[in-house]
Amino acid sequence: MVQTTLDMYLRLPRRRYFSALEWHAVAIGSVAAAVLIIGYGFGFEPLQNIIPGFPTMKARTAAALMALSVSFLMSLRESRRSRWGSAAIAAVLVVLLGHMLLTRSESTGSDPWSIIPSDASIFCLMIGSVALIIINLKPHWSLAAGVMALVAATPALFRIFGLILFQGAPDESSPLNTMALHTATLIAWFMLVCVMLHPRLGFGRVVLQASLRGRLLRRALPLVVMLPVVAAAVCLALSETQGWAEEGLFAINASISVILAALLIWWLSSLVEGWQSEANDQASRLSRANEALEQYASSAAHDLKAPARHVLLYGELLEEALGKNDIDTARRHARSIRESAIEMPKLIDGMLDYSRSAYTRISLTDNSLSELVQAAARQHASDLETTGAQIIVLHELRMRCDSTLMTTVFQNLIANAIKNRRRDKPLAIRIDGVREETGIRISIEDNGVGFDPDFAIVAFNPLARGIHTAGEGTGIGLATCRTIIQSHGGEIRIDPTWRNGARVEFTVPDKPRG
Amino acid sequence: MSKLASVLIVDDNPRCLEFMTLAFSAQGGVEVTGEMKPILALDRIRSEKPDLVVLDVKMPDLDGFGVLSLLRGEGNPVPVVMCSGSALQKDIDRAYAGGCSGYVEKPTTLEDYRAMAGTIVDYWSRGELPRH
Repeated sequence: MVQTTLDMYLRLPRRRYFSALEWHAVAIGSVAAAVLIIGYGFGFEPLQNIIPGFPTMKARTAAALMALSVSFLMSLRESRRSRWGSAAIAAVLVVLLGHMLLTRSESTGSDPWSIIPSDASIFCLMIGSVALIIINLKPHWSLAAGVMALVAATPALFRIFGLILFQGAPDESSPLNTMALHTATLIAWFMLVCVMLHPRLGFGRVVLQASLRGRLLRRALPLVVMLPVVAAAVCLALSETQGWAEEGLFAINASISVILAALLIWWLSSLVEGWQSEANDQASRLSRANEALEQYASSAAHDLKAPARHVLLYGELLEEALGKNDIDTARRHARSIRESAIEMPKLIDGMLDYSRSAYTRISLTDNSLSELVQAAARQHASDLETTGAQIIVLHELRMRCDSTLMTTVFQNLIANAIKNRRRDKPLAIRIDGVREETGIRISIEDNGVGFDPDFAIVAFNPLARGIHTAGEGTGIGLATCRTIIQSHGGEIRIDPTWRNGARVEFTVPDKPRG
Repeated sequence: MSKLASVLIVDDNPRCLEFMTLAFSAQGGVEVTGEMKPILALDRIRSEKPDLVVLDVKMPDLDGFGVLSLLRGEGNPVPVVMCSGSALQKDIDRAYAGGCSGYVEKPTTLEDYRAMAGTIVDYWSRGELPRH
């Protein structure tokens, strides 16, 4: 999401289409033009005359905003000519606006071009133009351009807050008092979005990046802006309604600022702590994955070599038997070659499942225990039918987990139960779930031959095989189960005290790691 | 006459066991027996007292290092040749540190299996075997 925003805003636009920033500039210029036309009519009846109080903008302010938009659009182009053109427009604006500010006179007449914009508007537009010159000619002075954009945006923002909160600037003599809401909005919009996010400045890249710094800045910056505004708003309200003296207001302003700053720092530090623990979790997951990878690599090398070696050796034995015309032995060796060859893909599939379970990022959903078990049982439908096995879920409950991975856990445990069943009685698998204080404990019991107590210790290592399953399983199923359960933040174990078959227990916390 | 009269081969994989048994049997004059379960192998070593044990390393329940350590722990001097698919130096070092008498990587051809068995039988037939 952040990366998309980053791409949308911060790459320099290509020739064929506009980037998001260009659309912002076009919108600002268009609104200024629209307000100008609607307000003054230019030969038609101005809308302001038809709808009294309809907002308008001084013609020079609107023209300056349109020129700024054009200059901005040109500055986004990569060619030298565009950048110089953009800087030239901005420079002309600086001169005109500066002249206006220095030789200020009261507006006269009804000609829209004779009305001089407010000092605050001229000042903001002029500073914004200077920022654009820097962006075009000295992009490595990004800090200066950023500060100028903020200097231009701040009075406009204060004016907006003033108008919203106090129906105008609280101080009648303030130069801000004459800036209209729509002028202030367009200026703040232009400065904060277009200039601050300009690809050449790099601020946007830092703020919108997915790194820790970007995440922190995205949260902290708006609050840092709001902090003095809130303090000022409270003070102004007290001054207006209670008539507080300056000393009292100063104390209140300072107290509110200190308290809010402390709260902000407190919140940010807890945020950083949370991210750090998230990072620690990820590091421990990574180290677990590495450990699993190491074990897996050494076991994989050993186990994959074995069937290949057997194929070769039985091939030689087959040749010898054929040389002696011993057809029965030759047939036996040929069968062994086939069996060894079958082992390899099984082993490779199991290893792939295991490595996937170690590296998959889990996606948590609410699931019903019996539905997960049913989904797993479907994978073994024919085996369960052939063996006449019965699966019973004793207590239904809902658990928060990754449904695909948890189904794999049940699938592996059911497969183990089928492999280790007793031949003299039908297989019965009982699955139960109990809600505990911190999560859910699931148990899977069967009436098969059970685990050898010694094997129970190493059962969850990849490629460990129980004596009863020798030749049948790949020895990866239980290791896969452990990796999945651990990735949920739970634990899995074989109950060594269970004597009537096998009993595997695992826990899934209420708030698994996602 | 060969002093090496009996060899017990311990390997959980029935195929490896078959290759080993064939290779050692081909040497003649040596009684070759096999065992797939390490725990049972320990009992058989104690009771049958073979002249030599050829021990696989990677086995379920109890691996070759575990079997060796139990044997040496109880002071059993039987020569143990570890036979493994792994040629990792750390496995070889661990085996010798545990008191094995030799370490061979599992061969990949029948000829090598026979040559390995021949070398082992020949070597352990030359000197005096430790008595139990």
